[in-house]
Amino acid sequence: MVKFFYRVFSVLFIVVLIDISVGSLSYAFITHIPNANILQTDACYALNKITPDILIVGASRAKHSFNSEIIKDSMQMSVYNGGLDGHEILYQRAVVKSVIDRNPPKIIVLDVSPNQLNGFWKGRLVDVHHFYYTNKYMKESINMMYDKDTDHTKYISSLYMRKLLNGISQLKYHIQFISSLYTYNNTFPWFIQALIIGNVHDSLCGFRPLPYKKDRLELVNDTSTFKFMPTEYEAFIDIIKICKQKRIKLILTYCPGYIKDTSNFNAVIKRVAKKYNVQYYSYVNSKYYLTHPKLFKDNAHLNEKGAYIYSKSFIHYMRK
Amino acid sequence: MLVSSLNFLIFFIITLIVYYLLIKKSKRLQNICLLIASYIYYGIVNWKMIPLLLFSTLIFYYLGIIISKQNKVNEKKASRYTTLGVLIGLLVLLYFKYLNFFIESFSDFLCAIGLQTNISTFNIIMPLGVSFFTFKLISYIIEIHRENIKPCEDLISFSTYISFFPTIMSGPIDRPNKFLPQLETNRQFNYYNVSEGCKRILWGLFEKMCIADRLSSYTDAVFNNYSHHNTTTLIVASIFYAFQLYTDFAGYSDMAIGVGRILGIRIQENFRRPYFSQDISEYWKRWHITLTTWLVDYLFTPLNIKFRNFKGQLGINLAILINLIAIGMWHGANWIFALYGLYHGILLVCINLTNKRRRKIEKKYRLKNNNLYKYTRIFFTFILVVIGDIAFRSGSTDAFFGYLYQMTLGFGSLFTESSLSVFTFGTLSIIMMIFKEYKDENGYNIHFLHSSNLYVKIVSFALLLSYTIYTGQLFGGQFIYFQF
Repeated sequence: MVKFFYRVFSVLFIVVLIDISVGSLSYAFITHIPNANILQTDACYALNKITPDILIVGASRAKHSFNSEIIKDSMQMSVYNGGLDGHEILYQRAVVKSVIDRNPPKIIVLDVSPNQLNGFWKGRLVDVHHFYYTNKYMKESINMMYDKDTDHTKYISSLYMRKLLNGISQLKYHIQFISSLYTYNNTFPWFIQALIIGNVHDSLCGFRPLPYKKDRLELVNDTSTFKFMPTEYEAFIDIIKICKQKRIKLILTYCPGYIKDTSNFNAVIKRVAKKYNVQYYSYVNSKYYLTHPKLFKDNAHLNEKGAYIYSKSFIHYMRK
Repeated sequence: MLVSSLNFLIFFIITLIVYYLLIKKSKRLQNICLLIASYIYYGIVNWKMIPLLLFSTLIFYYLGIIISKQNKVNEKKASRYTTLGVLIGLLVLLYFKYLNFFIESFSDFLCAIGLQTNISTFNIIMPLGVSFFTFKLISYIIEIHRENIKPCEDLISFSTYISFFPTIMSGPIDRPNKFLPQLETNRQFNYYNVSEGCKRILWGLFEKMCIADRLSSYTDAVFNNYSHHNTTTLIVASIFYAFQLYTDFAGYSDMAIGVGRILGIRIQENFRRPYFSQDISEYWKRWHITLTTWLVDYLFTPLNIKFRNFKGQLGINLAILINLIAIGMWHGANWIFALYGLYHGILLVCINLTNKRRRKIEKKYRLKNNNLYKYTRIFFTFILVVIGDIAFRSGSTDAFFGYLYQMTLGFGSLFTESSLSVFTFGTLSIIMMIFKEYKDENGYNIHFLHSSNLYVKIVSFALLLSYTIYTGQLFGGQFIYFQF
């Protein structure tokens, strides 16, 4: 028995050693990573470095629709497009709070879409787990996601049991983050990639244009029913409240898509914007964009030309 | 609750403590513990299906006793009861798995001949693991009827065998003659078993998290939009899928075997390095062994006997085709699986027909011990398997032929968008797995987890564990074979 436990202890000892080494190395990498214009370094840069006058946040639609250069030239202010493909409001909350912490911007544009707020992309937060220790707001956002009651317990009538099970579930997530191997899972390839590419001057300030797609686009219908997830709603309202508190002009927008939208999403966001007195400009079912499929890369994303036209038109709202 | 999840680990540790510490002196109590754990596990996945599992277990338990009694008294009656049992098992499968498929196919057929129909399908939820536990139930009564085993007199043991939580979702399909005797002995905590079990679980986790789940993002992206990709990408994706499918299923089997080992129960092996097969016939002896041996015993052999009077090799070839189509259809109610089975069946028939000639050539040119010949055969067998796997993944005949057609349109640059980890850690993990299988296949005396040197063993375990946590796909998807 003693032999057995000696072996188990030895294995754990080595794993802990590896864990600490990986943790220290990864922390050093993340805090000194060059801006290599790849998805992960873009996220790292947005979370830990940028201090623009105009901050654009959102998911892929924001990333590929707001041409920072045009906005910068027109507004005569520094601009950064901090959108990140396929990421939801919990990530955007962390970016907004981190930027405000460093130097509050004058304008924040938040592009919203159903998947950012209905929990559909929750699982993708795992891609930014490795900023857990390097950005306190990212840590807060990740904890927000895990510190909620699990779905499985909603059927349990006993309050005590429900609390206990939720407690175990939340504890489990927190224990996972003790491990650096877990937290920095799969970071090595992009560390190397970023080091190989090195520091790249990002003249596009975070904007990543998409090419024109030659295939004919078919108009699609969106008839889905949107419902806020509690954690995402909390994060969304948090962004609105902090902007109000810091007197930052917050503009909500719903970028154009080549989609016939009959969902309730637009109405829901309109209601929230009205309630908190925030500007909201929706391009849902915009006649102009629905009649110009050549402005799109795919149904959800504008291409470079589309982004140019859209950004030009959007400056008007920033000046308002 | 996936076997590869932390939730399962918590569940398993609790079960293990109760199993060994609290009730270590009574085999019956241990079986009760396993049974309760198995039903809890099954219930967590879908509690609504517990009655089905319970009733089918009860029916087959009593059928087993009746068949055994009738075996001695009235052979014909015993046969009838066995047929009844087989029919019940097949009806369960037919209802839950194939009914909607047959309705849809019938409706499509009527439409094709110009008859307008308004046939609607049923809203049937397929119970997880139904294909696995019904096969266990069927084999149990057939073995009793063949007098290879005695009926299990203890309902607890029998129910534990059917619902055993490591294997109920995705096999291996354990045979009663090997599994049930193990439940009749008291299982003591054994450090060797625990250590061996942990190694198997770790290797299974590595296969699942570092290869299968890691590659799935790439294969999904390519297979779901194959019309947008060129030949290079389609070839790479199909090779990746072959590894994904293998490691997903073999990873699960390894974990199930490891969990069983820790509990003191030996579960049958399900894979034996299938990608080192030199022909398709060998491949099916190494791939999903418990399913193929099941079908050989209960379908192929009886068919072969029935068709033995056919002219030449027609009988055996017909039996091969039916057997392989059954293997294909076992995977799901879809014509593509029938096509997958037929494809493999045709390959097996070709091998069967050319066997004698091939052996002559091998003898004449002394090719048997020629490594170049051996690895060329392995390579071509792998390619044939990959083609079959494209059908398996495509989901429909249209998509399969569409994929093959797209493959002919021309090479180009490889699709690598958001796939950095697939091409780094994914490929590295595949190389590690191939290296392990290569040394096992050739019996090289290089060992890491099973080294005779304690330090090598400990360090290898710790390194593999760290590698799996660091490079594995966290929050990976379901096991592919859960849907069957």
